Amino acid sequence: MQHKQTVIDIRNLSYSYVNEETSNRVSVLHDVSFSVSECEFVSIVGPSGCGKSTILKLIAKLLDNNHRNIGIDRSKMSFVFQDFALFPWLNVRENIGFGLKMKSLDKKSLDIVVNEKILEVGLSGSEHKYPHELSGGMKQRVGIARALAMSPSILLMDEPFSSLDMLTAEKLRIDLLNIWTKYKMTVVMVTHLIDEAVEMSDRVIVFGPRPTIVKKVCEISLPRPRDKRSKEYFDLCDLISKEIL
Amino acid sequence: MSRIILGFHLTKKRKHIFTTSFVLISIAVIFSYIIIISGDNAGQLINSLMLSLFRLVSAYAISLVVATIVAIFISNSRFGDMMIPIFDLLQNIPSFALIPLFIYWFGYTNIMTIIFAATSILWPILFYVLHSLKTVRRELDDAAKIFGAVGIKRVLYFLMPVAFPSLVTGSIVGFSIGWEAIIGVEIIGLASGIGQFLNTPVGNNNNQILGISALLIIVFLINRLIWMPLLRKSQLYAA
Repeated sequence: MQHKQTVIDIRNLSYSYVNEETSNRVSVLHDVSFSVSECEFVSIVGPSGCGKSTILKLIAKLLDNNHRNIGIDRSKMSFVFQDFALFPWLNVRENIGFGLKMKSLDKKSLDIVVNEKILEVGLSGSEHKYPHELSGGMKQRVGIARALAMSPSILLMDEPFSSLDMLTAEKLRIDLLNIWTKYKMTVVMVTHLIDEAVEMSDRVIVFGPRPTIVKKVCEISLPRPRDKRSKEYFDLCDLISKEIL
Repeated sequence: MSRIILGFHLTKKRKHIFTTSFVLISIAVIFSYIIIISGDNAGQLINSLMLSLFRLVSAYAISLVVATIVAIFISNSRFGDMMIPIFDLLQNIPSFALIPLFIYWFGYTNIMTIIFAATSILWPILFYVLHSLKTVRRELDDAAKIFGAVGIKRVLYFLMPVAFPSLVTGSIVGFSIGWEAIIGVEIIGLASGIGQFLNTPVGNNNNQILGISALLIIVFLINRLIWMPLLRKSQLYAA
């Protein structure tokens, strides 16, 4: 059996912040430990406000903390945001190429990558539209394309489908799984939908309420593409639901 | 369908060209009339107007650069919140109270007029830009960081576009304050310029009517040709 390398290693991570209104220190994460292997798709689920997004931001170094507890190579990391976070002054092409432009990639190479990602996420014909002219699903496609344009080996996703309607979200989930199968990158996704976590992940990490600890880690060994009507699928969803409730 | 859309765009474009041409031609006719009735004063009127405009544009350019740099520095500094009340206090000092001080430092010179106007124009631009940088959506800021907008690239490709709508609105307010400051100091300091042109006894000549008409035209032109297109463009940045 091939041994997979650990690409994210979180050891005894705690995080708290000072509430500016009450001046009280609020503990969010308490002694959280888990690791993620290369090419693995891991989802984090838990009750509202338990710190799911916080841990993703800590991994991405978007929050100040003692980052020694998080072992990760951030040079090949990318991020998909819940509310898309597209730059309103840039069109689809420019948004997708933003990260590459910041890396000072030459225009020719940048155009090649952007064209490739536009085709890959199904945005042909909308290249010159601005974010306010796009539907929610298309906005998130731009968000995913922008993240993929960086050729990441680690992709962090913060509730990427929660701002979308059910049908659009389902279509995008399928597309994302195809992209993940193609590139085999490591994915860490935060979601509040247990069904979504079971459908997409190799492993589901269940967080408890604040101050958060890891309550359970569920291996999802169902074959892909997953039969969402199978008994095993429902059993796994029930098991995780019970842990959260 | 595409023909209809194209046709609509062309119609819209033609209408815009027609309106702009009509406005410009009307202004040219009115301005020519003013020049004709001003007789011997025509040269003095144009020179005064151009001198005041030069002073105003110079003061605006200084204010724009200083306000933008200070706003970006403060919004990214941990001492930023401490500086805001100080700036608020400073901007509340009536600018005309400082004229004797500026005359003492710089004399009755162009530099004095420009620096005095710059200290008035600075505040609206500074506060508008500061507000936009302090209230930028957290996710956008995170996205900029994740995708490598750091250092000067952060300023050029993230902070400046974020601040653009505020720069435009701050500039519009600042420019109107600037006219007031320039004309005020020209009248008080008896310096040359449109302020001095207007500062003649009423009834002796048509200077007041001519000066105010010319000012209205220049203000209208700046508004139509500079601020309106920039305002339209800024809507995209704020979307």
